[in-house]
Parts: sequence; C-alpha cells; structure tokens
Amino acid sequence: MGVGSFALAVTFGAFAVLHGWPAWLAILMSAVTFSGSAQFALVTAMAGGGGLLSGLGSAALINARFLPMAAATGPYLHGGPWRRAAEGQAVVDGSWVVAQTPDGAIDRAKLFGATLIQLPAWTAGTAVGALLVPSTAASYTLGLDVVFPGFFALLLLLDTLRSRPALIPVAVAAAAISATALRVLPAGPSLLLGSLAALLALRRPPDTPAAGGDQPPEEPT
Amino acid sequence: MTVLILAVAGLAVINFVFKAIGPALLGGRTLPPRGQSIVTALPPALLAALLLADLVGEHWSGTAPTVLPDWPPPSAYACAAGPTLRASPSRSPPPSPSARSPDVCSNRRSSASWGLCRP
Repeated sequence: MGVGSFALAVTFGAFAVLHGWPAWLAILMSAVTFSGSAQFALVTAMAGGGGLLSGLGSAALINARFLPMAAATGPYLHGGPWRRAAEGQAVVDGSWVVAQTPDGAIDRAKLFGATLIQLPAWTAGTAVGALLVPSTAASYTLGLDVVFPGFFALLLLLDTLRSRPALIPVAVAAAAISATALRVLPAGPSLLLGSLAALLALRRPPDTPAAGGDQPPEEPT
Repeated sequence: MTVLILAVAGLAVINFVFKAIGPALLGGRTLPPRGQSIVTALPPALLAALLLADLVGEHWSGTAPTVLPDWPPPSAYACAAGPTLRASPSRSPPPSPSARSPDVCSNRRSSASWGLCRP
C-alpha cells in the first residue's frame, strides 16, 4: 500500500506543479489533507477556472463517502468524542478496506497501521513529484501506474469478494455505474456514483460472511 | 497564492469534519441494521469503482498501455485505416520476411491473437 500511495503521490505532485501550484504548497496539501482523489479534484477544478468554492465543492463531494465510512468505524475506536474524532482521521480508502474483518467489524490496529504507512509515503511521493516533475512516460516505464489498480484488484477479488460472495452483484453494479459515469464525468463524482451500488444491500438482509470467514468449519459427513 | 492556501485549509477542514462527525456523535453505538448493510456493501462497491477509475480514467482517456496492453488492439486501428495497411493483398503471394516492409499488422503480437487484418 505504501508503494502504491507513493507512486500515485508522485503523479499528484507533478500534476499540481504543472497546474501552477507551488511545490511547497502541494507537499503541504498532501501532509495536512491526505486525500488523493479530492486533491486531484481540487487542483483540476481550480485550474479550470472554477474558483475556490467550485474546487472545494468538488472535493467535498468526493470525500462525502468518508461520512458513512467513519461513522461505521466509530464503535471500534476508543475514548470520548474528541479522541474518537481524532482517531477517525485514520479512515482512508485503502486502510478502511484492509481493516475490514470477515464478520464486518473493523480492526482498529490494522486501520492505524495501514494509514501510518500510507501518510508518509503519500507526502514523500508528492515531494518527489512536485520537485522533480517526472514525465508520464517514466511512470509507464517503471510500471508505477499499475501498482494501485493491481492492489485494488487483489483486494477486491482475494479479500472482499472471497469472504462475501453475496456482494459480487454489488461490485459488478459499482463497476458498471462508475465505468459509465467516467465516460462523461470526472473521477470523483463517478466514484461516488459507483459507491451508490452499495444501496443494493438494502434489498436483502444484512450480509453474513461466507464459509472460511469466522464461521466454524462444517463436520465432514 | 492566498486562494490556493485557503483551498488547502478548506480541504483540510472538510476532511477533518467528515471523518470526525460520525465517530464523535455516534460514539460506541452501532449503526441500525439497514445502515450496517450498506456499510458492509460499501468496500466492494468502492473498490470496484476505484479499480475502474484507475483502469479507464476520466472520459475513458486514461487507459494505460501497461494496464491494458492490447486494448484497443493495434490491428483495429490498422483495419480501420483501410486496405493499404494490410499485411498483403489476398491474391498475391506473401513476401518473404526479409523483404516485407514493416507494417502495423504483422509486427504486433496482438494482431495474431485478435485474428484481425488477415488476408
């Protein structure tokens, strides 16, 4: 995950500088916001003449997914409201998915560990990209562009869907929606629309993990 | 410059509030069953959407050649360009490999696998 974050951050650093952002501010943004897709959206919207409100609106739309994700994480965090609010900052896409357990709970230690690996990688990658501004061709040559897709694919196929095969239709619907939306919309709103496929879960009772999760193995007959 | 700094500060605040409000208000309480069902389904939906966003990119323009090396197949471009780009006319004998001029159909691995542009 750290390698994937670093690779994507290199792209973001170069992207921000090429769109007129000073390198130090791009690095600062990565350090204090740590929000990949929203950062891309902010830079894109402001570079397109959208202004501050438009940029922040796009970023807020993209990050709206953190509302339910963080709310679902709440019961597994410690302390009072302020401490829980602070611990909730560890919620980012990759960490949150990795921290899921087969019974639907969230492994707090794994959540923090994954985020603590990704945050410095994301900031350092932004610094490299912003200061060196490597070409896109270099990213292709080194294969950096396949790190994140490969990671997401493995996570989806080997972890999430293997333990919960009943959610395969949700994943297929999300892929179809986001692919269609990406044809006409930026990545952020497309991501949000694709995530709406999770509403399909309302059509059936709460999911139960597949065998091999936390279920005891069946006795041979 | 001030606008850019404000943008960074604004994004930081938005991010903090979105991630803080749920844990702070809900505390240790769990979501109702229907809400929990949606949250349980969110990881595969989000992962699938992220995967597609990474693979095809905005406006389907980011299809990285290292991710999908043979899509679209180069031979498709060759066929779309017309008969002048075909490897050899159907009624003439095929040229020897050494005499054959470079062309988009014969030099690509994918042309054979997709079965296009064959005389």
